[in-house]
Parts: sequence; C-alpha cells; structure tokens
Amino acid sequence: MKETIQQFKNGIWYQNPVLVLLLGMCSTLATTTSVINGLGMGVSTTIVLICSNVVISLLRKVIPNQIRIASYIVIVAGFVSAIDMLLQAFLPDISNSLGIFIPLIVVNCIILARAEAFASKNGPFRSAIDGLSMGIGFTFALFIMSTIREILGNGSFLGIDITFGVYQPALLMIMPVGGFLTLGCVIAAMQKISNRSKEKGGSSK
Amino acid sequence: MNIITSNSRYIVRLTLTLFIITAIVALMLAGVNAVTVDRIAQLELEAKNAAMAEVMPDTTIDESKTIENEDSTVYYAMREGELAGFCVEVAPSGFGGEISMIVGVDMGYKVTGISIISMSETPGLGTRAQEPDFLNQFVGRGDSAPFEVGSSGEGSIDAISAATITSKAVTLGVNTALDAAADAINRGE
Amino acid sequence: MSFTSLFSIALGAILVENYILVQFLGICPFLGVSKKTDTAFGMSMAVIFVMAVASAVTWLVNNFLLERLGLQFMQTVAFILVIAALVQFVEMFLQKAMPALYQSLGIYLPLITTNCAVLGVALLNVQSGYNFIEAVINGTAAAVGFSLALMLFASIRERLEFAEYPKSFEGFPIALITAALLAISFMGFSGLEVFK
Repeated sequence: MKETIQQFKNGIWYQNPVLVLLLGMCSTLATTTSVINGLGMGVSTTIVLICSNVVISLLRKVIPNQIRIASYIVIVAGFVSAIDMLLQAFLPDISNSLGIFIPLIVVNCIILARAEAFASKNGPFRSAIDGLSMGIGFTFALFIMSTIREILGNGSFLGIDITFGVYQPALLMIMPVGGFLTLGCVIAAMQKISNRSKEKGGSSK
Repeated sequence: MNIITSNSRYIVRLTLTLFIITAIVALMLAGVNAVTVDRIAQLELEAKNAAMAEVMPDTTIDESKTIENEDSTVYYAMREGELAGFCVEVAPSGFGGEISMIVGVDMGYKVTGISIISMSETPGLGTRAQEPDFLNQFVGRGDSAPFEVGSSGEGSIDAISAATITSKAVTLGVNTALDAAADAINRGE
Repeated sequence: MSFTSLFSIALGAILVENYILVQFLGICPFLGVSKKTDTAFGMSMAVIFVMAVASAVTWLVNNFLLERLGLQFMQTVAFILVIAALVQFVEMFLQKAMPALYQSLGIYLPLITTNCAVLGVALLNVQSGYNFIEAVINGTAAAVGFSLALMLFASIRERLEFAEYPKSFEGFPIALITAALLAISFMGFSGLEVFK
C-alpha cells in the first residue's frame, strides 16, 4: 500500500513525466491550446499507458529480448489505433480537435519509456498502477499548461469566456511560441519550489 | 546485435513471436473497426445533414438532382418547391489532410454560409478556420472575382495567423464550390 | 506534376510549416541532442536519411498493401513497424559499411524510431494525398527543416552557457525560452509563398 502511494507521488510530482523527466514533449506542446484538448490528450494517453503496461508486463517473459522494442511498439500502436477509432465513433469533437496527435501517441516517449523501464520488470498489477500514476502526472501537467495558455491566449476556461471585456487575450500564447514559453516557465517554477524545499532540508526524494 | 550468429531455431522463435503479437493486434483492431465503422459513417452523415441545414436554413435537399463532380458534390436545396440554392460539398487538402466542408451558394451566386464537417489540422492553429471570424469573411460575397488569401483585390481574404495552408485550402474549397454551383445554374434549373 | 509545385511543397515544409517550431513534431530530439553543434549535426543527417527513406517506403506500403487490402485501420501499426525496421536496418548497414559514420551516429539511430517527426511525416503524407514524388520531397524537406531548427538551436545553446539567468531557469527552462524566441522568428515566414 505504502509502495502504491509512493508510486503515485512519483508519477505526479517527483518523477512527473513532463515536468521532470521531460518526456512526451510533442503532444504536451501541441495539444495544450485549450483545457478540453489537454484533458482529452491526457486521458487518452493514460488509457493507452495502463493498457500497454499491463499487456507488456504479462508478456514480459514470453517476448525475447532482441525483439522487445518492436513488440512493445506493435502493442502500443494497436491500443492507440483502437482508441483513435473509438474516439472517432463516440467523441467526434475531441477526435477532430486533436487530429493527428492521436495516432502520434504511439511515439510518445512516455509510453515506451515506462514499458522499458517499468512494465518489463514488474508484475501486471504494479505496472497498471505505474501506468495510472504516470498518466495522472502527464494529465496534470497538461492541465496546468492548457489552463495557463487558454486563459492568457483565448481569454477563456473550458470554453467559457472569462475576460468580461477587460482583457484582450494574447493570441501568441496559443501559438507555438506560447507552448515553449509556458512550458519553460512552468518547469522553472517547479525547479524553484523543489530548490526551496531542498534548502529548507525538507522532504527530498 | 548477434542475431546473425545465433542458431536458426532462435530466429524462427523471434519471427514467430513477433508475428503472433502482430496477428493478435490486427485481430483486435479488426474487431474495434467492425464495431465503430458503422457508427463513424452514421455520425458523418448526421454531421453532413446538420451542416447543410446550417448553411441553407429551412430547405430540403432534393436527392434526385445531386450532381457528383470530380472534386465536388452539388446538392439542390429546395424551399417550398422552388430551387433556393445549392449545398456544395468539397474536400480541399489542408495541412493535415482533407478538410471536408459544405458551402451554401444562393441563386445569386453568393456564399450563404460555410460549415466545416471535419478536418485534421493542427489543434489551435489550423482548427481555428472553423471559427466564424474566419468563415464569415466569405458570407454574402462571391459574385465577382474568385477569393484569394492575402491579396488586396476584390476577393481578398485574411489568413489565419500561423495557418496559411489551412486558410488557402478553405478558400480553394469555396472557389471550387462557387464554380460547381455556377455550372449547376448554367445547366438550367 | 510541375517543378514549381514540388518547390513550394519543399519550401513550405522547411520554413512555413517547420516541423519543430510550428508543428511541434520531433521535440524530444530537438531538446535532447541540441547541447552541442556536432551531435546536433549527426542527428540531423541521420534524421534526413531516415525520413526520406521512410516517406518512400510508407507510401509504397500504404498504396500497394493497406489500401488494396482494405486494411487502413492497420496504418499506424504498419508504419511504425516499417520505421522501426528501417532504423534497425540503417544501423546494421552503417555498422558494416561505414563504421566511422556509425561511430558518430550510433547512439542517435535508435532514438529516431520514437522521433514523432518520422511517423508524423508518414501519416501526413497519406492524409495530404501526396503522390510518390511529392511524398519523398515532403519527407526530405521536412527533415531539412528539422535540421535547420536543430542546428540553429544548438548553436544558440552553446553560447547560452556563458549567459547569466535566474537559478530556477537552469537547464531545460532556459532552453525552452530560447526555443520560444526561435519560434517567434519563424513566425515571420508564415504567409510566405513562392510561385502563386
């Protein structure tokens, strides 16, 4: 139980896939133009991550070492294609706005990294927890990024206008530039917080 | 890297494992495809009908007259038994693939509305072509020169920033639709 | 298929719709191997080669296998397998034929499999309905655009080592801010067109 809690802590904060491990940058930057897109991407990735972690963990003794990467990629690609089709059928709006970044979940480094670093060495239950916690961490980072960018760049939150006519949204923030800027500042803020807690001699990892 | 030196039975095992995994994945995808394919098609049809109702309100489509061109499909929109205009379906290529859209054209060869059914453009950039700010530039115009992105002439259209290819694709689609509608008018009826 | 339309595809892919700075494809290697210009150069060469060949092979696979057999839903799976196999093949070939080049590129080659620019270009080629030549040109040009951004970024980062900035911006944050500035300069290309 304690281990499980630690896994969640790692996924969300100490080893946050986006903010600390710097994995999965492409989808992080590209899909965080609005909160709904960010969440859609985060949840889709989480589902793929859990499924692929469990399957790879179950097959870890069957797959020979030389072809493990190829096998992982095929398994991940299978789940991603399935999610892609399901989204098209049941959530067409999300599918339309995320466009090509859904099939590109396959090459999101987070998924292969967790398969290689965790699922290939641990049992299915712990791998599922790992997938869930990493997925939550990813979604969390995307949520922060997209909240900042949507409020500043579009003057809205979840599509609801919150400018009340006082503030002219800076379009720049939802353009590519805004993605780089926001991510840079968010990571800097995160480093600031962890530096401070280290100086205080507080909880280190 | 020592695949070459290992014995042939091992190679067979490698190939077989990968083959079985791929086969299972293919089967699973075929299953998901079978479940979703009808629903995706139905959703597309519904989206198309909704789009036609949006660009040509209060009309019914006379399916018997539909003209299939090479790069467009022209639907006749009837209002109280009279021909009110056309809904033209076009699919120009944008940055991320085809942009499927319906353009409404009235009998005066003017754009009544544009509705984008689906696109796979870059989220937040190309997808902004769906917003009224961009699309309303076309509405009520069309009897003169063809539309052109960025020109200062009669048919000028402002591009969406950082999404020039998308803006041009939509503009091309509208021009194609106007031409197709003009052909349909010239055919008589 | 005129030369001018090929040229405008190429120019568009390099500058206007730059894969890294405008489309956000291939960010991982962009941030990962941009600390020194010579490693960035090695990565660029490997990516150009793989993307050009991958565009060609995936086009053939898509048009002669998947479409004929009605297996479009296997697209992602088939493409990624082709790319993974291709990267493996390039690696083995270089190791045997050009050991010197292999030495300098070695570690970057496996990374290319998970470079989303490669899968991205394959998928975009299909979605844009390009023919074989257009697909290869688009793939190569996109890779050249990738290299251009990577080289620029790497040379800026080398100089950045001597700059002063707040401590919390150390490492990736400052690199990302730099990338943002570079992206601003590439925004100047939007709307650029040749041969209307």
